[in-house]
Amino acid sequence: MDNVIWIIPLLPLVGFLINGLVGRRLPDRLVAIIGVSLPVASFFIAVWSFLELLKLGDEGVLTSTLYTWIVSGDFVVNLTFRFDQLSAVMALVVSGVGSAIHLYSAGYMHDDKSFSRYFSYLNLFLFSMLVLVLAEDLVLLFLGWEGVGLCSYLLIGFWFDDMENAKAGKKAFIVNRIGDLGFFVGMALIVITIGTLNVPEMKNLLEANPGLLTAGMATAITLFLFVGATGKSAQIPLYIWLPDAMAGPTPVSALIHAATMVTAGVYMIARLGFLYVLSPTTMIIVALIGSLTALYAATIGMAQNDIKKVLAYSTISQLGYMFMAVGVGAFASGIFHLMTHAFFKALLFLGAGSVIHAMSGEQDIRNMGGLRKKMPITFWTFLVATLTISGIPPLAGFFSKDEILWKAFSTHLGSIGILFWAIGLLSAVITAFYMFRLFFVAFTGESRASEDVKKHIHESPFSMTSVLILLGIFSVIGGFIGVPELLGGSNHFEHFLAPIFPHLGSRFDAHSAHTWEIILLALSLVAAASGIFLAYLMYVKKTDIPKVFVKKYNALYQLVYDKYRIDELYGAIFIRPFFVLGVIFSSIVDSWIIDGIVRIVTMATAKLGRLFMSFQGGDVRVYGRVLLGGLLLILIIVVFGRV
Amino acid sequence: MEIVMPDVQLLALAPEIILIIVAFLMLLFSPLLGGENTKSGPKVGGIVSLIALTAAFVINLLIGQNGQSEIITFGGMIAKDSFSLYFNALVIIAAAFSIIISFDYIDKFGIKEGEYYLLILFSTVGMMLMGSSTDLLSIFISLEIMSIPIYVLVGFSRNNLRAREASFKYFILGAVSTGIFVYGAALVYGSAGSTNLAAIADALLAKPLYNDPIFMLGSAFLISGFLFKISAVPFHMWTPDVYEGANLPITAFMSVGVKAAALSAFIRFIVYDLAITGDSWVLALSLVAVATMVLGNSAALAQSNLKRLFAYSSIAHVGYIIIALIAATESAIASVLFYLLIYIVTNLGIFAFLIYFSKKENECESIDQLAGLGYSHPIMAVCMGIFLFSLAGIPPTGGFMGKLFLFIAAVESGYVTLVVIAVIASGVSVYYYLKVMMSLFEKGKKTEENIKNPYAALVVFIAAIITIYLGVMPGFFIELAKRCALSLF
Repeated sequence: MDNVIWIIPLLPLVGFLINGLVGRRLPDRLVAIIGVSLPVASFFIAVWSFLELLKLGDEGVLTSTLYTWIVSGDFVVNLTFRFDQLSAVMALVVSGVGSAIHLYSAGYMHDDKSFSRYFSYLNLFLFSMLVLVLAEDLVLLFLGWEGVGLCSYLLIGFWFDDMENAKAGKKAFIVNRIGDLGFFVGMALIVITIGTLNVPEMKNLLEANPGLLTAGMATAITLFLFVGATGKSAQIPLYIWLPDAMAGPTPVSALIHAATMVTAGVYMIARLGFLYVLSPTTMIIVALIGSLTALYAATIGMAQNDIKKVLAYSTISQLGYMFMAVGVGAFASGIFHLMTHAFFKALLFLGAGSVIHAMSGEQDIRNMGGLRKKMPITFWTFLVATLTISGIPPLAGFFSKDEILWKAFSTHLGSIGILFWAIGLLSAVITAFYMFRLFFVAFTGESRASEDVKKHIHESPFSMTSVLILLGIFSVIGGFIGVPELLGGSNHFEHFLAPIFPHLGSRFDAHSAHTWEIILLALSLVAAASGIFLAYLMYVKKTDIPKVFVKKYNALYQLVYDKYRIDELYGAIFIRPFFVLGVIFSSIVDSWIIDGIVRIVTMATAKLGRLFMSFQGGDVRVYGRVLLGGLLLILIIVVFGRV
Repeated sequence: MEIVMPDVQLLALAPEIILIIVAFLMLLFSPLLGGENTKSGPKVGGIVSLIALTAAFVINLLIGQNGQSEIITFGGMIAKDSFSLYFNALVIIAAAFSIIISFDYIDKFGIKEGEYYLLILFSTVGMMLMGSSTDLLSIFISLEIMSIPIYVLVGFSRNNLRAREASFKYFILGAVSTGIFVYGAALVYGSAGSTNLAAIADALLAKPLYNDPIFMLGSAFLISGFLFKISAVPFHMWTPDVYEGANLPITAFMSVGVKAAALSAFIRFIVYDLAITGDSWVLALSLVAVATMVLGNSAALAQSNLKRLFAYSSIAHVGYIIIALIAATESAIASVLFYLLIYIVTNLGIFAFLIYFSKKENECESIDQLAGLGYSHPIMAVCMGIFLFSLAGIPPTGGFMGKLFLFIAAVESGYVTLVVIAVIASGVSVYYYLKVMMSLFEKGKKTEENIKNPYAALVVFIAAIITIYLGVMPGFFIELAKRCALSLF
């Protein structure tokens, strides 16, 4: 415990304990002050630790071991926090964006009846997430992993009076459990083969003795872990919970279901990059799933009318980009996009929240419009975020997304990278299109709200708009720390993270790489511009095009609108059979066989108890007789009982 | 006949000596410390006792830190090794907490006699000596030093019929069991030629004495004597009546102190001597363990009086411990030491809780009296929940870790059947522990009273924290228990 990094997760835990235990008796203002100031303090400690880390140079790392948690033979788990370059970035993003969203929440939730419950959950979430990113050991990481899952469940179903919300929470939890099982199997395989779950130790052991893992075992481990990542980070095939998760309060969607928790899968793979590079098969699968998810979710995003649903699919799609990046071995680019995405996606969600707040809970973009005058700050910041996600230079999203596309194209995995790049580029066009569709329909044109709602539309309070502006600034400048050399930058970000990640080559030599990079850059710009133009054409200039299109290709539109009916498919394949099985077990096996045994046992035990009581009459002579009888029995057994 | 003066190292007995001197001084001044007309007198005695116990505890620690692994003195009758120091520490803690929870209680129940605390001190000295005794004679003497003050303490409320009856019953049955013990010691002496545990072991190794029926008969008597003190079936019958009749702090003191002390001597006897004889005692103790677990748990199911319920619960816990005694390996004994620590803390917490909610001349002993306390006193109720979970063996409490290590040690020695029975029995126990819990959180009943008993509350909190601590971070104490158990082998 030679430094203070263990305080970083501790502070939100303190907030959780205070607000969770006595929050209901405190005034709301105090709850908000506690709930917001502790995460902010934790952010400052993270910043301070970051500066300390910079002083230590490339090989520097801060660790702090609190105590030994589990000892079982040779298997030891320490409760150790590790602040290296990667966890520094994650801790800064999580506590920074987290603090901003806590502040925003103070305004957004101010008249909710469960104000203190909300803040206690949110603080608990931040604690779990910080444990996740600071954990040195996979067991501790898993603790955080489950903790954020729990908080996600609690916050999705925050307004549990409505059955739909409670169901959405349940769905998220159950789908995540499936992923967690994969994660757990992966960890078990690591224990069996490598013998430790301490990440740096795993790395050292593997470097010293590469024969520890056969190629097949490496693939198995990494794939099982990836199953966990698809659950937590909403990738094909376990993405279905995230759109439903929008049932929670909007700041929750921004924090948990856009900026931080859902990126845990990306972080985990980046953290275990040294394992993943051992299995090119897994790498290709990860990149493929990522790129397909990016495209698939983007297409669904085109047909949604609920503002939060659009953003949810957009999140799934952007996470797909990150998986594409880590899949092709560009771990730093994945983390870079994770960071910029945290800024602009949080901003988009908070902007949406500001709109929903102003429009008395309206979420359908067809009932919005004309918000520029009434909500100028929300309008402009939302525009910035939309431009950023569309990949317009020099905003943050441009640098990070473009770098992923380039790394995919030039990957050491070979020419399959061109496929990933092509899918990514197509997704970029669609992304620009659906984001600007959202923007044009929701914010511009004439207001289509009812008169009642219209009267109330107002700009949000300062505690909310200040956060929007802050995140807007970061969305604009956040990319400059990772400007590639091609554009005259020096990519500080990648160099900073370099000590953590394995170094993989590119399939181009330096000279041809240069040419290709310029070509791809131009194509990216064209993609973004064409997407935006298409949206402008269809939703501003000739607004009848969408209607004609829907009429002509109605079946296709309906299919996309219904999210390709995957939920229904899962329902038919997985849920119904299990349900039938459950009915069989509950009505026959449980109520007859199990309950029968239990009933017989309890009856017998109760009878026995009463029998014993009948001896216990209080008569000391009886006691004496029993005592002497017992003595006799023991004498006989001890003297003659030898076998 | 040659008479050899035994070597005597008084310093090794410093903790006991301090307690005895203080107790005698208190006896001398007891007219000043208590009596019908004094108000604060008994409390002064309590504080003095606490100071003496603290001093004894510190010296006990210092002896432990001394580095000398073992001090054998009084002609081999007393051994101060890590094992005895561990037990001494447990007993001192039990006594200290029992005294703290007595403070408010004896005011409420009109106990004014100054002898109350000094009797606890005398008994504590007996318990401590029991853990250090390595000779059947010294075990017998310390057994009596421990027991006689307890007989008096059980009947301390002379005007209470129940208490008098309990005291008398305990005394009669206790006298019988002491007789059995002494007879056993005599038989063993007759066969082995010595009362010293180590010398008996040497005699056993020299010639296979377990073919000698006299020796086996003697050890069976000794086993029975020990089983009486730890209230194992079929020597348990006094337990519910005595626990119910005694005052709550005394019940707490007995249920942890007497058991721990008797177990410490029993363990020594088993490890030194029994373990190298045949396996017939294993059979006998196995049957006792099963009977104890089954009877303790199923009889507890039917109780609505809390003192009786926890009496049976304590019988059941003895059953679990006996399994590890049978295994008698280093890790099994270590697990018993660890288990006892948790058992002591948890039980003290439970009795402190009951004392906290006892009213003037009216002990909180019926399960109905707990109804609704979870709503009027949530924090106390949560602590009680922790204790109940710990007794039931549910994580993250110490009780879970204790049971886990106990059962692991037994399974490692091959006593799988016994462990399976123990697990089922402790499954049954969840029912009656949760029955108490449910009553705490019974809806609709609210007691709006202002209860002030900071002493009992303090013990409840400390015990709850330790119970959770031992469940979450057992590492240090498990290592300690292992080290202390090792000193026996």
